[in-house]
Amino acid sequence: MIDTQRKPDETVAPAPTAVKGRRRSLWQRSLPARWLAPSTALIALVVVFPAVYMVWVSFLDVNRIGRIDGFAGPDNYRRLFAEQALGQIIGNTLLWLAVVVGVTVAVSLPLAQFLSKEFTGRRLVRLALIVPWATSLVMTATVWRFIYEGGNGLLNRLLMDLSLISSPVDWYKDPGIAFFSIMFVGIVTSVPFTTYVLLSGLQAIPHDVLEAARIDGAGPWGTWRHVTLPLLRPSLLVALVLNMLHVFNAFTVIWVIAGKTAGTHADTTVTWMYKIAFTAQLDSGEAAALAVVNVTFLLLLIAAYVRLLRPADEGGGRTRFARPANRTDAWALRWHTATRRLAAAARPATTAIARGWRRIRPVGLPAAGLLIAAFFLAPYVAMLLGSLKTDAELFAVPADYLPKDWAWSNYADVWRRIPLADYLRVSLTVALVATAAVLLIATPTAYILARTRFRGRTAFLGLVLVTQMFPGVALLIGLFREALFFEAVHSYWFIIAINTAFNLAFAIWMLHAHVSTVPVDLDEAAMLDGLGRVAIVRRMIVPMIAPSLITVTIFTFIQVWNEFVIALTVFNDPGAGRVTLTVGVQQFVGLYETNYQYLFAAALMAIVPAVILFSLIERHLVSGLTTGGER
Amino acid sequence: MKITRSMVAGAAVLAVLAAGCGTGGGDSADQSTIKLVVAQYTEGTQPYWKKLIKSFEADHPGKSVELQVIDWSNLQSQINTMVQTNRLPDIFNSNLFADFAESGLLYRADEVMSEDKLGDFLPAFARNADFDGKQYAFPFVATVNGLYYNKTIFKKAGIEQPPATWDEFTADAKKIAALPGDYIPYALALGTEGGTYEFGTWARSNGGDWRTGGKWTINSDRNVETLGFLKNLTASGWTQPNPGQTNRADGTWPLFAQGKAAMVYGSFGTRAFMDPVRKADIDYGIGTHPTAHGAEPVTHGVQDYLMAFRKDGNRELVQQFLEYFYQPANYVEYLRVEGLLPTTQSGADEFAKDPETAEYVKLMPKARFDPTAEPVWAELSGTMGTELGTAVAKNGDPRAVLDRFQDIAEAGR
Repeated sequence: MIDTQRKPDETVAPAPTAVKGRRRSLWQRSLPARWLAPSTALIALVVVFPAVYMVWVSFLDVNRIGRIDGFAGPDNYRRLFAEQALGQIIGNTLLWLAVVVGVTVAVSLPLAQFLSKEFTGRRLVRLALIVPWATSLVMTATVWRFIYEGGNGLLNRLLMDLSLISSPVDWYKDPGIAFFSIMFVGIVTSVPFTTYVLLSGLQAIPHDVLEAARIDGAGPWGTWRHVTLPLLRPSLLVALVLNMLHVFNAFTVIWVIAGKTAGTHADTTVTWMYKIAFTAQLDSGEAAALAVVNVTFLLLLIAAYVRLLRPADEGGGRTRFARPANRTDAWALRWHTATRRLAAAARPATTAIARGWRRIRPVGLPAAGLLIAAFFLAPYVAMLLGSLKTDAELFAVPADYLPKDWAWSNYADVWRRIPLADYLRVSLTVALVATAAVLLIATPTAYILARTRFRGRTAFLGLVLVTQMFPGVALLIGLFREALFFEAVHSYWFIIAINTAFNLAFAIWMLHAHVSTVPVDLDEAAMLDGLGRVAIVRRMIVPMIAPSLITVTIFTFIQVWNEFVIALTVFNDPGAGRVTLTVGVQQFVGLYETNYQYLFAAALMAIVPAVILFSLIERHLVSGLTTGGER
Repeated sequence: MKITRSMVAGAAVLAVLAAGCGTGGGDSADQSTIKLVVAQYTEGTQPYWKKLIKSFEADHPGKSVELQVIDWSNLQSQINTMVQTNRLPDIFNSNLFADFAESGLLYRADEVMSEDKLGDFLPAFARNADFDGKQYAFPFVATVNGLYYNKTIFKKAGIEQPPATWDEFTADAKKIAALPGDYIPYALALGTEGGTYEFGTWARSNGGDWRTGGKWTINSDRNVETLGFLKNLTASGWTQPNPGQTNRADGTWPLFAQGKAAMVYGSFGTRAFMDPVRKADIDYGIGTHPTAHGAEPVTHGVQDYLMAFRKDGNRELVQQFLEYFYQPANYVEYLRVEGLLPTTQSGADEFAKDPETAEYVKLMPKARFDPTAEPVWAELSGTMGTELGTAVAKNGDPRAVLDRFQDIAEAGR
């Protein structure tokens, strides 16, 4: 539809006298198309093209060294569905979807509620939650692998000291428990983001509503159940669904922790796809077939998401959330009276508890906060201590908590062991250019979306929504084949284009929301003064939405800085010095030994600036996160 | 529909732009420069090659060699990317060559090395570099692998000789398991890295093999019996926990170096194995794995290769560089740096002079190889690495696992 507005340039005008006016109106009409062209092109290049290309490859016969031998028809699919491991891997994927998403939301909800309360040390807890989020998933997964080690593992040491287990457990090797250990890491790494989404939802609830409920005599539980929860529903949905879609992020966690152990007992469809393509079967065709199946599943999820968020009665925003479903009415009523009765019976007890709680509250909340902060920071403390141990200490059985000789020299040695300075330079280049590109492309896009109504707007918004939901991993095979097609493997422009495209959605949503709050009158006044649209954006809009721009800058920078899988696959040429930091430090997980101390030293040097940057925008992030989903 | 088409058009525009500002041409066939891509064995790899290239360039004015060192975990995917993007190296170092030979990408060995130089390769290694009856790759380095045992633990358990048969092995394992101190009778590594090595070695000690008489025999009765034996070993608790998920270097080898494991499969003399063992002062002995059904005791030979890619105009320089590298002084220095064993007669003669390495050289004639010259081996060993370990888990089924491998081998796509 966008296209139809760009093309009429070529149509012959019927009457010469009308040409001039028509031209102008054409210029006017094609305004959105012109302003949206860069982002559309980028999304086409990085999302649509690889997706289509991947479908094509799934019907080709690709040999072990990656050459295309011809058309395979449905053979790749036939081979895929004949794989013995298929059932188990689909089971794993669904289990991950149910358990990780379910537990994450179940944990994040009370956590967000907790963090919305005022207490001493709240800032500390929030910052502690920022750390796992700002840290690259690769680094976090690596430290968990370290914690999960067998005889020399920290977790085993801790549990044995507490007499909870009598002999070391192979947390990530034992086929019976490995997947559960990894799912635990999946939960720990998803909770911070989810908590922030819910927190932003909680803060959007007007105080007077809660007060009104209290005046009406509702208890805290009643208020929460009947006021807070319904109002939180949009955020809850966003959290739930984004987590479900990001099941594909499981790749990094699973790959780093269990990628080098045998068996498929800890694989989901994504890691298995990588194995089929690059390590075990060496069959890109079959991997593409699996990717197509994956993407189809993902599209179904997205469809469900869109349905959930866009009920038929578009206008009735208020009734949408409060509307009780008729079928469940009777149930709800029965449940309601039952809980009422129960609450009445327990009232003396609850008031006693409440009184006791009020007394310990000033101590209780900070204490609980401290525990939570400690839990989320613990892996990074382990990382810090590990980075100061010597080789022998790292493999000592049982593990020591503290280094015996504090090997500060590791921090100096790591620069010699790997070209760390080069990795930093490459990562910085990619992250900075991608961030700049995101800003340059997203700002005009967001502006025009906020200021004009045109045919195809919904389609464009849908497209942006889809890129927000499509994790790059799902398209990995397509992106890799596309890189080959354009001879763009290991080239800067391609990795930058990918990173730009996948971060565009968040930026557009966030900036769009902010531009919408700027009164249109200002634009019109400026236009009367003879300013063009470009000048308006540059001189007026940009200064006004500066806070959002800063948030987008930092958020994008860190996302790119931490990206792992795509860089591993399409931008990894040590000979030419083209290796990003996250990929480069992986060589410490070597064939013959894992030099955790250097890995952690390098990781910490990458984490600290990211955490500082992230904590700067923490507050803006809370308000920016849900805007995308609510629209 | 229209949206899709406009998008493709947009992509095409971008692609044209990209090609313009892209990466610049690949390596053109330039007679004065070749590209050497080697695997990283140890930290000594890169310094060695840099030094060799420097002296080669000094000897051959106007010629230059561009070096790229890649770690093993990335090697396969990197070379495949090079093949697919037509940025082939001129000389490449890997553990597999057959797929490239089959695709017609490699020079035959006699095209880039003179007859008498080729004659210096030890026959067993040279034969193992054949594809379709012609030698395509150059034997590069070797390891010989077999049994290491801890004499201190053996003494404590009252064992005088390393076990020669599976029955003796079982009896010894029982004795060691009964000792106080939680000793592991045999540290077994059937994980992704090296699991096929370990299993292949046990299979041959039982009279089985991957191939027999030119046919795949992965699921032969003997092999099924062998895997069942290893599963029993696991179930009896005579190995460390989860051998199916244990690799050598970060799994079984540290156990031996810590004096916890009484026996382990290891590479003779390899640095990565020996350094910690020496540091910990373990009193060890070496030998072959115990056998069953009267099989002949053998060691396991692993060799890596150099190969030369066929490109216009690079033949002369490739030949010069290969012959320079294989000069005994340069070659032996390389082996010393990496702590690996020679594949040439002149190299073996040199190693026989040193009493310690002489012991390993003596075991080399007993070495048997994996069928790396079969193109399907790349896929097969990848799949086996991923799945072999599952056979020794509690509910593992050795026969079903081996049947599956046999199918892949026979399909031999």
